[in-house]
Amino acid sequence: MKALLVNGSPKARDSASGSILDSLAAALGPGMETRRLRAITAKEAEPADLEAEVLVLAFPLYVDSLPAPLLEWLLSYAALARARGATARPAAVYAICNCGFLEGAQTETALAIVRNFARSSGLRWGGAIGLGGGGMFEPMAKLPPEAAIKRPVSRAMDWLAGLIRGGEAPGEARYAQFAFPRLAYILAAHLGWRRQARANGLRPREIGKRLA
Amino acid sequence: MNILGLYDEKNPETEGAVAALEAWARSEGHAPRFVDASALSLKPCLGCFGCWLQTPGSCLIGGDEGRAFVEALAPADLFLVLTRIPFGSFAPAVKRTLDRSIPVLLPYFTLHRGEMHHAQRYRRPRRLLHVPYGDYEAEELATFAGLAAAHCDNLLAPPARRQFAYRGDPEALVAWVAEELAS
Repeated sequence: MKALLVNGSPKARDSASGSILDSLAAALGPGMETRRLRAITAKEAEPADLEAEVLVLAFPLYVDSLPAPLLEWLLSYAALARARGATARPAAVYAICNCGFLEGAQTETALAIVRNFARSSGLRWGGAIGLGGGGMFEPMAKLPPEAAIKRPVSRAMDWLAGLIRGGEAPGEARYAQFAFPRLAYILAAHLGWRRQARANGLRPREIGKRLA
Repeated sequence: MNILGLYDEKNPETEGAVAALEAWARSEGHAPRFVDASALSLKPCLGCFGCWLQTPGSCLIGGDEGRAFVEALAPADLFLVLTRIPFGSFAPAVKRTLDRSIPVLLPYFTLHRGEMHHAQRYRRPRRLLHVPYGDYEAEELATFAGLAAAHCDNLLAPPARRQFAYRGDPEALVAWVAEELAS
């Protein structure tokens, strides 16, 4: 089975979406022939992209929805799919949206947008997961999947990988986040922002600068 | 009142809506400015957080109108978004513009309606109103209603009391905007 894994993050490197797709590709196993692309560099879908039986979109939440380059890529894919017409076995679409907020449920609208894309393009809506705590994916990458803090996210990923491997398309969305107290997440994030600002030569209070 | 409007492209529907809104705003003594997102030709946001941690309040990307748009958004009392809604999303040009608007936020988090959101760089009370138009399915309109509410939360603004969809009736649009501002 052919799967096209689309990274919707505009970041050139160190994106949580890329890390998520690495994990997913490993979980799909050798029985799945995977191909990767980045929406921002591909810009538009090509006819060959429609050959994949599985389309997986991994992306960060940008202003409550999809990053613009991924939206643009999806519009071009939908136009190609409509021009091609109905097929006997339309591709199944799956999505993984991560957000910097701890609440994975904040991705609900973004996942509904992908669901609408799938339906309006004549594709099967496979299912999706919305993951909160996006800032923790990279730091937690080396922890084993069963680590308590990571387990809710690992289980959601396992569920989605199982759907894809089995060719199932229930059209369900599930939400998960790292098992970490929200207040501690916020404090850690704020410390991290200040540390990064200092590394860039700023004083932390300059983060709040207003334009004249 | 400082009014900033953003619409996806010039076409008969948006031109009619913008003309009516501008006339109403001027008659009320407001200062309106409407921006055609497709004419901005913005490069996409790269998610670098430079506008938060390197040049706070200003995007690192130069050579386009992204910084000028943020400078127009920062002091706006009312931000109106008029857009087609493919898949229930903002239209692509509008989405590029909104993605590039995060310099108006701070990286810091706050709690709003029980959820995490970003604190605002500018403490000005701001209203947001979203106006979908064009052809769409019922599911796309329902999704967009959720997106509009989430966008209001994103800017810590109150949601619209009543959803509105523009069907080519400028008077109905103006009446709805006035009604929302009065609420």
